Amino acid sequence: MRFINPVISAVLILVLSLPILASETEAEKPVYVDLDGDGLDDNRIDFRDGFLIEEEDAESSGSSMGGQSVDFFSSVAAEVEIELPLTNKDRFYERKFSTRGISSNRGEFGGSAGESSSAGKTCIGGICF
Amino acid sequence: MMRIVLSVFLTVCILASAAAAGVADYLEIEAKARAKRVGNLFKNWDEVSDNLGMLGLTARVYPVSIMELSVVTEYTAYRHNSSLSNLLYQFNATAVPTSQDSRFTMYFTGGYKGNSYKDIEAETGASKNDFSSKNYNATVSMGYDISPTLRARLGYTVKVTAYPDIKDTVLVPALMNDTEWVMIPLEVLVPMVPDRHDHELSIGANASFLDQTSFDLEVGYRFGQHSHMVDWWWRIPLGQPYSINRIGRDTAYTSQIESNLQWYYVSPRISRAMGDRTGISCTYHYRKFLDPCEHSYVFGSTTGLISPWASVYEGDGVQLSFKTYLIKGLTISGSWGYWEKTFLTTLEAINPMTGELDADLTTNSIKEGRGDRDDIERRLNLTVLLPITTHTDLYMEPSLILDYSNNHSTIAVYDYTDFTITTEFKIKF
Repeated sequence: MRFINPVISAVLILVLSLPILASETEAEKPVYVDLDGDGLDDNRIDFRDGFLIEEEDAESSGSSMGGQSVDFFSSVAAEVEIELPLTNKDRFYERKFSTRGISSNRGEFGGSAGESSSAGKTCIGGICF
Repeated sequence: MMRIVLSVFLTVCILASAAAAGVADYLEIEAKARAKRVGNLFKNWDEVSDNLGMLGLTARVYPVSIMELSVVTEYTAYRHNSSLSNLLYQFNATAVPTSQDSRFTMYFTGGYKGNSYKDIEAETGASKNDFSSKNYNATVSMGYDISPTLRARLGYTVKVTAYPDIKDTVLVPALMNDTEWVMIPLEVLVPMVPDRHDHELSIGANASFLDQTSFDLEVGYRFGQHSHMVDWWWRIPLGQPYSINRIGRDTAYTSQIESNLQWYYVSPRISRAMGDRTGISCTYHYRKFLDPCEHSYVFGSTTGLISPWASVYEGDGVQLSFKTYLIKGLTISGSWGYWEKTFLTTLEAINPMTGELDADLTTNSIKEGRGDRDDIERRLNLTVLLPITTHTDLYMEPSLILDYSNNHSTIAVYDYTDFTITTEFKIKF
């Protein structure tokens, strides 16, 4: 196993970082869950996965998590907050969020992490790369 | 070309009309444009590079809150390899009948994906059928929250990849009179490439522990039919000219043997948060064939008859990944992966004496051209996204993807490096 060194290094990083990060934890925080495997708590905002979950500290800190939500019109939009009824699309997104751990498997492990679509694949003799 | 442009234009018009008609609550439209520089198109020693551009349009409809229907249209144009330019069309239906608050979750999805390649047959003689395939897939899966920190899941997926039939003329015996037989030509449809049917079963569990750490274990079993050649292919008397290129595609594929191919995989994954804005994970994957047919082999890419099973392998690999929101406005993720793969025995059109391409294979070299293919692949990937939302629910996402891979193989054809840069702009409303 030529990759034993990187694996050991990764495990060491994970284990050594435990005491440092554990001290930041508060009892009231929701239970950490990571079903999609990116390491981030699924209870927090995650645009890349196509889900928009309200983050708990957005109002207090005045900035969104990692700043990935850039609202160019925030000065206009922030004046009045009206709670609109959820649409079919919103409800479906909520349901789909609960399936993030079961909607795919790791049988095809090894694909490019960056590919967002199967389009543009190269094919020869009917076989696509 | 005109047909493709027209179909895309009509799709845009229909979707725009639907959006204007006040169905935005039930409809989501996504448009994207992609530019890509590929360093090694075919992932082999040819090192064919190209630039390609893609325009895509996706419509997602939500007739009820438990279902999503989607239509995807994408046109990809290659600058130098124009025969690869194609229109992709995809239809999907996804249903989640269980509530997001339920401890039990069910998920159904199914779809069809096809490609229509630019018709260059009349212009160059190259066949667009070389690249065509139709893909069908369906998945049903379910999960159960045993406790707030422990979840179990089970899933089943079926995938079918179908290749087009081609017209061919075969000679069949016919009775001319009471005693005399003649061979008459008959036009038949024969499969271009054997279709692939794969079934996957997977079971897994996910547990959170030590505050911000998650452990996930998945075990899977996959089975499907396997078309391959066996020993008799090289039992033809030595010295007889036996060029693969002279066999003809239909003969080459229809003469293959069908058997079953099964494998299982085990994949543990550990992930944890490094603070509030960064996550890391380490995934290991081990895959093993259960009953590979002995003495079987498949066509490799240099034979011009590449097999759908040429990319099937057993072995193991590890991938380290990270994702961070540390830089304001950006989502950055990356991964480093290492794989050791043993593929099915592959036949290549390579002269065993010189190691160079030899398209005019003889029976002798077919025997010697069969080789065990063991690869070591390293891959590095970096993705940078800039998601932008507005109060009008307009979502924009420019992105940059860098992907480097290096592959070493016991068969020289597959010694390659590839560096691909992709830029994409996506808009969703």
